[in-house]
Amino acid sequence: MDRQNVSVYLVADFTVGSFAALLEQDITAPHLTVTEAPYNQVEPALLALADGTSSAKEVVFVWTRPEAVIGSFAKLLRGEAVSIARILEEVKVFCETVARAAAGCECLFIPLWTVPAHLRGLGLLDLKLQEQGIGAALMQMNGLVLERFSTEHNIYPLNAARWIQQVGERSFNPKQWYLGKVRFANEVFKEAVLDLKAGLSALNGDARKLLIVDLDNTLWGGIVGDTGWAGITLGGHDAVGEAFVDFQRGLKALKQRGILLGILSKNDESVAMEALTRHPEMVLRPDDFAGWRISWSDKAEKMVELVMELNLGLQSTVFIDDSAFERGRIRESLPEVLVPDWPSNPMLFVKALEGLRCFDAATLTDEDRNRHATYLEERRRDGSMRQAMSPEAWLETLEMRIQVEPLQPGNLARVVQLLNKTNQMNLRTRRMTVDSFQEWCGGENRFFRAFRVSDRFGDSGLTALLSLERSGAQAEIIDFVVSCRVLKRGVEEVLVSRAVEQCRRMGVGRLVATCLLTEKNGPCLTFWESSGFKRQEAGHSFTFDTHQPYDPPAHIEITELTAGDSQES
Amino acid sequence: MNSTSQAIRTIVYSAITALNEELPKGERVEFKGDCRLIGPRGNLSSLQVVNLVIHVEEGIAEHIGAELELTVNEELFNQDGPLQTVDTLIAYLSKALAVDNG
Repeated sequence: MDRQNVSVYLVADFTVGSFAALLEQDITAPHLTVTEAPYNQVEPALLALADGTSSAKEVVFVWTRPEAVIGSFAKLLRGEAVSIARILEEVKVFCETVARAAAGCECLFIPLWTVPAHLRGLGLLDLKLQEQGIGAALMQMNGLVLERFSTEHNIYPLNAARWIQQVGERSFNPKQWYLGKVRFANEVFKEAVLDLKAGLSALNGDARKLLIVDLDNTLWGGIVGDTGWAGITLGGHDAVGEAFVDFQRGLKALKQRGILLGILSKNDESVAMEALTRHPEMVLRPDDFAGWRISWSDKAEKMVELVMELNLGLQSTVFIDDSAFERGRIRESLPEVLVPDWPSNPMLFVKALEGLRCFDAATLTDEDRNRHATYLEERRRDGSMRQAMSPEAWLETLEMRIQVEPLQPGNLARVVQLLNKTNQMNLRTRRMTVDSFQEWCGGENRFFRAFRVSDRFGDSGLTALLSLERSGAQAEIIDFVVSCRVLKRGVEEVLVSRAVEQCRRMGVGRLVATCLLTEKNGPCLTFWESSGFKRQEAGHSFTFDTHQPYDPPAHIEITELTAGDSQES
Repeated sequence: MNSTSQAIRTIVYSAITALNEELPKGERVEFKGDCRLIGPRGNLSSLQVVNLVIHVEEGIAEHIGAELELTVNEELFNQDGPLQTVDTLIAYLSKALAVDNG
């Protein structure tokens, strides 16, 4: 999928002209080009995608009315007696059609079914009578859709009910329906645009990874430097105090999802740390933060330092501060950082936080859940480096181990996630779906390995990828991906060494690496410039004669799993 | 212009703003009295006209408290009807609400 321009194919059984227009007119990345399947031709359009008579699509968006695609549900709406088993049988058939259609696209989005809010069905009994209630039937139908698609790598159900809740009574206008066969108001379509765009950003690996917050009047009420930790507003029987506690809980929930937390505050560090450590109602303690800069210096300067320390990019960063001045300062000086407008009332903080779509991710793996722990290990590692005599001596003390493994069902999701999320040390920044990557790896003359990195401080998980493609007497490195968590410890050299070794095994004498430059992968080019490979004139290609030795770093113990070896996922 | 007339203009402009969100830059409806809406020189599709009229209906209900059933009035959608320009629409609404437009 092209990161900046994506084509979307809309399949619907109601008029979606306004939705298509809103998708195309939305100025946030990626830019969308939209085509519509013929009106109310859902099944033929899906079948055409499935059997390949319709050209392959990038993104397909299937938005249907339950009564239009599930005949038995339409009967139920008319008050006819229909068994829920019959309805669910039809849902299964519809889901199979959608699943087959998904083979004809990179990814498919499907909003769950809704009915207009004024449709009360049997009223009190609507959820109690499972065989006759409209609401009860709809919930079971949607449940079945979720269950069926939970194992499909490229199908993403979307919560349309939430869009309708956001808009309220105006989400459905009967006049719009009778005059134009438009099911939803434009306000609902706008919510759908936001979720689709967030989803595409997630699939493109553009999800933000780091949330940096201010302290005074952001994490708690008041100025800790003035009042001391006992005087700040946090918790207690106080509306604002409770709101700050809930905001901290919201931040902690993000941390559990793998979003790193950082602090950027103008304060005395010792005073701020005392508050974080000693206040009894503080939800976030120092160990919940991957890093911080607490000083009286300019926040923009300190933010750059902090982001660099965490080996992340500014484009991965979000900044929350109650001060409009500080927000403006960061927006102007560091435009890549996302600085959301922030309410002045602390009771609106949680709503503002939970409304952010920038953290949406395409997958959630064990590596994500453990990311924070990995950074804590990194902090300890950094302390160790400061004590060591030189970077080389420090590396010797790490007791690093790398396990090299082939693509397997247990690591597939993480491999594709890493491929799609890594920006800095990424040779070609390929973005692929699980299916397309698996298919690519199965191709002739191709080689792939994933790398798990650990050391005496902990396990960084599956954090590097290498793939090659042979063409005659030479091979080209296609994917050279290293997570920022393990950069500059010799992992890059292990990958290169493994690539050279593989060339020898394949009888290939020349290895080529071509860096496709993006705004973010400058560190990758820098690595290749000092890799020992010969740079080709004019361009970012590097070559190596594989008859020459390219030994892996001596401080790393390397083991290799074969396809038959069992492993943890 | 009295306050209700001004309110009607504001409601129509607000409806145009909402409609423009789904129109490409070069096709957006201008905030000018003589801007064509439907007819030979109007750019709006039938769906967009319906959206505009519904926005106006909702705006009048919300801000003036009157229920104008514009969408059932077939005359409204005639090529030479009240939707020819922004001004003719405002004049029609003012008359329908029995407002002195002077």
